[in-house]
Amino acid sequence: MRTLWRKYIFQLRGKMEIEYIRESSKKDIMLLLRDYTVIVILVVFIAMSIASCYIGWSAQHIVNGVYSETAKQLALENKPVPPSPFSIVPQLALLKNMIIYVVLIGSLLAIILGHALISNDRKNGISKVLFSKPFSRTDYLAGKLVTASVLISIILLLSMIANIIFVSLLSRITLQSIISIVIFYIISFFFLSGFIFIGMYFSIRADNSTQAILLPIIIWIVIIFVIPELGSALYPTSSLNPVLPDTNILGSPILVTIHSVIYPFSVSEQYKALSATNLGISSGAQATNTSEYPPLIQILIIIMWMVVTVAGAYIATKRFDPSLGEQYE
Amino acid sequence: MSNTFIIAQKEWKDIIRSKTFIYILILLAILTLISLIVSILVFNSQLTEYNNAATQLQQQGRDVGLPPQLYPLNLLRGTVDYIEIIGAMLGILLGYLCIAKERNTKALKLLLTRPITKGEIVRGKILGNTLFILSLMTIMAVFIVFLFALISGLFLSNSELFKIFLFIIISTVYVLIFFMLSFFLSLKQKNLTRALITCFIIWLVIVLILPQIGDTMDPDNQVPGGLFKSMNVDKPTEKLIMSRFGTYETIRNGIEESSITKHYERAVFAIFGIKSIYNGKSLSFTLLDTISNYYWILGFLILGLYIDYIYLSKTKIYLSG
Repeated sequence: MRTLWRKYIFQLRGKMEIEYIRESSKKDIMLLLRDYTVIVILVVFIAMSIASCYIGWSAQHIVNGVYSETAKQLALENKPVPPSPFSIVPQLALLKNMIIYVVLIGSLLAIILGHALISNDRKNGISKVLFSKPFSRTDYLAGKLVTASVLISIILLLSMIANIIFVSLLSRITLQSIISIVIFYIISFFFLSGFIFIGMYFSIRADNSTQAILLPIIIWIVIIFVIPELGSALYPTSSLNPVLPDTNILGSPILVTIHSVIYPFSVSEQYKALSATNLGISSGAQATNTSEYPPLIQILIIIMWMVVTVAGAYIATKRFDPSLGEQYE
Repeated sequence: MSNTFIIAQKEWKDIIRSKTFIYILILLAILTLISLIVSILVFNSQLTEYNNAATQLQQQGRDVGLPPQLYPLNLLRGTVDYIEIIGAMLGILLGYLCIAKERNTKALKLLLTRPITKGEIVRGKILGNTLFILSLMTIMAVFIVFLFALISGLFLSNSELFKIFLFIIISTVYVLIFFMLSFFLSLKQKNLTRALITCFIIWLVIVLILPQIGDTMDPDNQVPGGLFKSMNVDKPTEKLIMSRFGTYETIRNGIEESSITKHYERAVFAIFGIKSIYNGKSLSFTLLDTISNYYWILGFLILGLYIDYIYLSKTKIYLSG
């Protein structure tokens, strides 16, 4: 494998940059496919899409049954029957789990993908060879960004197709719903790209492969669990449920202050709220008794997240010390 | 000193010297601090809300219900959640690292050329890591007790301290189960990175996905605050209604029960009274009522020990690369 890479690097000399980026992306995609990393991520994503539709459908089905049984029971006991909280079910309610799965599983898999993209080069000594030569590091990073974008786009596209098929099988689907699903996947692309770049950043910066995988996972824990807990007083496991528990933070001035400082940076909450609005599903703001930003601001926050992480990966690549290559294992 | 103890001692020293675990320890301490502070603030917020409502009701001459009761151990819900998630990850990393470093340096191959058996290596590594996990959980528990006194001026009673002790034991076993899974895969898989990725995928499924599916399928979780509560339905009626959905509930419960995390959560939530029905109940009642969760945890532990002790000693393992 190492010989193949070296031969490949020397063949690249004198070629145009665009050609390098294309060729290096092709090589990375082939390597990741051979390593099953992409296949595993793809399978998990498709399984997530199918599971989210089915779970959403079965929960909705059962909950309607539970309501009618409760209503019957209350009528028998001569108690007042409250109106059904499920009388108006949004058309894409089946996908409410998908938002959680992208936040939870998708982001972690994106980190693994970003890690795999760089760590293969570092383990094989490629980065050391490349960066010791008068070679544009920007081209190197551009090649990785193209690979990451192509892979995540393919994965999300196939997942989206699976979603559209399953939603049409289990519920009624309209052109408007398809457009909403497409927008949801575009938002997911920006959100997940940030995690790929975090995975890449730490794989470039870390001294060894353990730190390269551990540190982005710590960041993931902070983004997915800690920031929502601090900002909206959500317990880590509660924030995994599409329907959030009632947590009124307005009674505590300290919590309100923390919320106003942290919420703009809570990219996972912004993603969840934006996706829920786009799919026509109620978000968690009612549960936490807080107000949300307008969708445009939320989109800007998610794009900023991607820009900041890609800038981090760029700085890390520029500052990479080739002498570290051999310590990496 | 037997070979097992020498290996265990070496494992312990390796872990303590490793920077990685300093990061984990600091992370766990910070998360505990954050979750405790947030829980206290939420409780104070509920109390303020109650006081405001009580004043209004009293002015109208209406009945005022009981104020929210403070059960100190209830405030540890966030900490238990973090042990569920990060503790399991810690177990995986420990299992992976204790094999990866020796496979990469070919130390395992060298060790087996000496008069040491595979079984002694496995026992030594498990013992060293078990002691480390136990120490880590004890440090965390001491930190929790200290935080209670420092932040809220609460000093835990003897029975609460005993519950914290039980928490240390259950948490150690829980983390150890994930350690044994990753230890096994790191020795049985040719590619170490793939072993780690496989462990993380299993972690995702067991720790996050299965409990999430179970929670999402719960009809009561479809409305913030609970469906039955929003419809003013009492517990016996709720049980009666749900008994008409027996098959669905069996499947949902089956999904939850296939996750060790859910058993850990149920056991600790009961001990700490986070599941409100156990507040004010005796510890023996709580333990008996949740005994099936302990059987499951014990079952997973025995399975892990069997696979690591017996299966690994008898089958081919990868010693390098």
